[in-house]
Order: sequence, then C-alpha cells, then structure tokens
Amino acid sequence: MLKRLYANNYRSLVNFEVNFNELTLLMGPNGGGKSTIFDLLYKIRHLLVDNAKISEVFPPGDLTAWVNKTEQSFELDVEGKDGLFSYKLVIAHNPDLKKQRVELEHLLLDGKPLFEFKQGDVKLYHDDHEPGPVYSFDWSVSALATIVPRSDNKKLTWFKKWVEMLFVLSLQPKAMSSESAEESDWLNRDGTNFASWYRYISQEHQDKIFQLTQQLRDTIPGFHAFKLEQAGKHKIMKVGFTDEEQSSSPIYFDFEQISDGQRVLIVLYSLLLGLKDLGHTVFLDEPENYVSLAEIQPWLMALNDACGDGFPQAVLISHHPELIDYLGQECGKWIEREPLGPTRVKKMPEQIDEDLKLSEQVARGWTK
Amino acid sequence: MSIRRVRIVLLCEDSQQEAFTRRFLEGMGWDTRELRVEKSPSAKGSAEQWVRERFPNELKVYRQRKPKAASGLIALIDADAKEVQDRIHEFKEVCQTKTVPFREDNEAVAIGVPKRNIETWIHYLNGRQVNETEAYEKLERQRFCQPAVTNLVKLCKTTGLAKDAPSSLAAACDEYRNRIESLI
Repeated sequence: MLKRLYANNYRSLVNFEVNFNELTLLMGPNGGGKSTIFDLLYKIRHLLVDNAKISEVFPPGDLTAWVNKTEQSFELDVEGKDGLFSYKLVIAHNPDLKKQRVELEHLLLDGKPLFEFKQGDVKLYHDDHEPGPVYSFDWSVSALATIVPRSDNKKLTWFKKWVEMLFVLSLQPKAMSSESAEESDWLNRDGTNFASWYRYISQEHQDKIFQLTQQLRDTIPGFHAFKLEQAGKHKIMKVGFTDEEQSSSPIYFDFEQISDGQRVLIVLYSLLLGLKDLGHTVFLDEPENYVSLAEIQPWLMALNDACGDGFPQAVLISHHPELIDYLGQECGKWIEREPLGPTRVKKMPEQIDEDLKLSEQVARGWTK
Repeated sequence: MSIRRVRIVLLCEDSQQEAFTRRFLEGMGWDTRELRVEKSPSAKGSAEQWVRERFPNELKVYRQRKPKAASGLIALIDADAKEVQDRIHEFKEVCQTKTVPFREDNEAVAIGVPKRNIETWIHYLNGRQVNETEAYEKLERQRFCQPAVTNLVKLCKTTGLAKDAPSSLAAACDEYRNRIESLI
C-alpha cells in the first residue's frame, strides 16, 4: 500500500507531500494538481517497469515553471509485508545540453539499504542488507528497472512487483477495443486493452470469472456472459445479453458495440473482483464518468467493503456528489493551489451547517 | 436483474452504523442494490439531529412510493445517554412539528436505537460483557464489525438473541422482524 508520495519541482508539485489510506478520495477544484499526482505515479511506473529513458519520461517541460532549479526529486513510501519500503529518485536536468540523468536512486526497507544508484555507480544489497556487487551504470535510465529477480533480492523484487502492479486509470470507453492480440496482466491508462486484461484474468484466475459474471448479471440488465471469439490471430471480446428471465438464448455483441456506461461498469466491477487478493493498488480518475446515477453508490459500497479486505488500496479523484457525500467525510483529501502556486493538501472544508451536504458546500464554492 | 430499484432507504449517523446495518441486511438476504444509504453529512454531535430532521421527509417519500412497490425505511440513531423510547418519541415529535403523521403499525418503517451506541452492540456480539451506559471504543476499521454482524445474523436466523443481550439490540431486532421482514 502506498503510504506517502513526495515530489519536488514537478509541474505544480513543489515540496509536495500526500499520505494515502486504504481508500482515499482526492477532491478539489480544477487545476489543483490531483491528476498531476496520478500522472507522476504513472510515469514512475513507466520508468521502473518499461525501462524507459529518463529524458522520455521526465522531459524538461515537466520542471516547475516558476522554480529556477534543475533537480527534481520523488519519494514513495510503500508498506509491504516485510516493512516500509522507501524509494527515492533524484533527476538532474541540464538545460544547456538538453539532457537528463539519474542523480540518485535508492530503495530502503525500514531505513536499511536494498539498492543504491548514485552518480553512475550501483550498489546492490542482499535481503539482509549486507553489501553486494558494485558496478557502473548508464545514468540515462533507472538502474533499479534492470535488476533481475534472484534468491537474495526478494525484498527488492517485491517492491518492483508492487510498482508493476500499479493501475493508474482514467477510463475512456469510446477507445476501448474488443480485439485482443494477447493476454495482458496490466490494464493501460485509459482501459483500452480491457479485452486483453480480461483474457488474462479468465486464463490465470478463472475462479474470479464466475463471481464477476454473477455480479454483472445483477448489475447490468440482460447481461449474460463474456465470450472470447477467435478471429485469425486475435480474439474478439463479445458480451452476451438475454431477456430479463435469462430464458432466451443470449445474443452476443462486440464489446465495442455496447454502451459507454456499460463498458465502464464492466471495467469497474472487473477491477474489484478480478484484482481481489492480487495485491494491486488502483488509482482511478473520475470512475463515475459515464455511469448512471443509480449505479454509483452500489459500486462505492462494494469498493468500500473491498478496500483493505482483499483489495489493498484505491485512490479516487472525483467531483461527483455521490462520491463526495459517501466518501468525502472519512476518506477525503482536499487538493488545491493558488494560480501559479504549488499544489497543497488542505484541510477538508469545514462544515458550515449540519444540513448542508459536503457536495452542496463544494458546489457553492464555500470551501474556505 | 433489471434496472436497480431501491427498496430500503437507510438513514444513519455515520459509516459505522452504515457498515453494521448494511452488512446485517445483506446477511438477512437483502441485495446491496436494493439499499440506499443516506448518512449524515457530519459524523459529529449533530449527526443524530440530522437523522431525526430527515426522518419525516423520508417517511413522506416512503408513503408515496409504497403503493408502487414494496419499500421500507430504516433509521439508526444512537441513544447516547437517553432511553430507546425517548429517542423514538423524538422522531414522533419532529414528525408532528412537520405535520407528517408518525409511522403506523402496518408501515415498514423501523427505528434502531443502539444504546449507548453501535459499538455497544458490536462488542456484545463479539462476546464481550457490556452495559448500555458505558461508551465503548470505536473499531479501528468499520469493516471489522463483520464478525459481530455474522453472529447477529446467525442468531436472528436460529435461536434469537440470548437473554443477556442489550435491550436496545433486542428492540431493534423486533423492529426489523415486525416492520421490515414481515411487511416488505
């Protein structure tokens, strides 16, 4: 579970720190920096999982416009079964040469070293924190990304796996494809590869499919089941619908043919049930988009029940009254900033009257 | 399943009351999708007042909906230092003030009044000796009430509550049985 994120000199995040719980709702005005937090986590994952170049992931344009410094730093504190993992990444930008490099990258467990990459030199440590090999490495990428799992680096490998399993999502149903070239254990940012991810879940975690099918039958009128149909080298995801009593033979439609709201609901419940007990942290930007009003609270209840109980952590961004009123009071964090000022986590708006819902107060802008 | 249609509206003070009651209803066979939770905007002292003030409006809405579909209304409010009957009487008074007739015997409108509060029930159902005057510690996580709820559901479905059960819990079980289970 991600306990803390720190960022400095990244877009509007200047000396910025935020703590997360099992379920966190980020609220606040447009332009406050909520999605920037998600972008950053997505980029850190990209760097560590895809072995991407620093220059590609953190271009100079991501430096804070009004901070005249060329160093960026990021920290993640992640709670795992062995303790608290602390990852730190410092990037140096050279505006004259238009180059970026990793100045420092380290991973600690409860304050003791597991890995260090400093000014081009990598120091590895064993699981018991005893020093291991030392070697020089390319500053333009993350050295941690290149460490392969071994019997004596299980703790470091756990952290890398946690990063790999980060889902940072802003669902775009119109772009979701029904075609799957291969299984994928990761759902990409806009959820467009859902068919491939579903294919993975149905192959590797078949036990979850029965429950998911039942849930979707309860949620989506007429839903019967999914089907993956072979089409040359690809598979096409089909969604079967039947009449209300499930007495007629189902008619199957391409996943792309069903409505935007149905696609989003399918993804939202698939996340809850498909990721159960798999250790993922999920960041969801405005999950309620496209979902009918009547379906929001039941999903929130299911999410609330799941978080910490098989579903380690969810962080949501929303402006929707249903989310604000259901979760805001206990799980809410208020994120905002002054124009050309840094993003800050502010105290939640103080309630001015017991009859006024938090969402209504937010709607009126009575947050200060 | 067709489009979601709520059958029970749950008015409550906070998320712990919600977690307990919702899980109980689910245990008794209600589908989450049939429930609508309306909890106080504030979990502080005024939450009980919010539930009380909201009650007459929900009662009116319940009566309008009832002819179209079997529905129910459940309100949860902590007794704190008061008696269960006093709290129920307060609902009656606020209904009178708002010129909404109070619930009739044949209406699926239940009022649960945990005394002293919901933690009293939870700790009792977890096997602890409790009294209804002491304030017991809150759970670290609301979902940790599940074992207590499971126990309550089991008792409700089999032997019923033991004689040493808090009287407010026994009263709430009667409310559920007579007003929700029997009338919806």
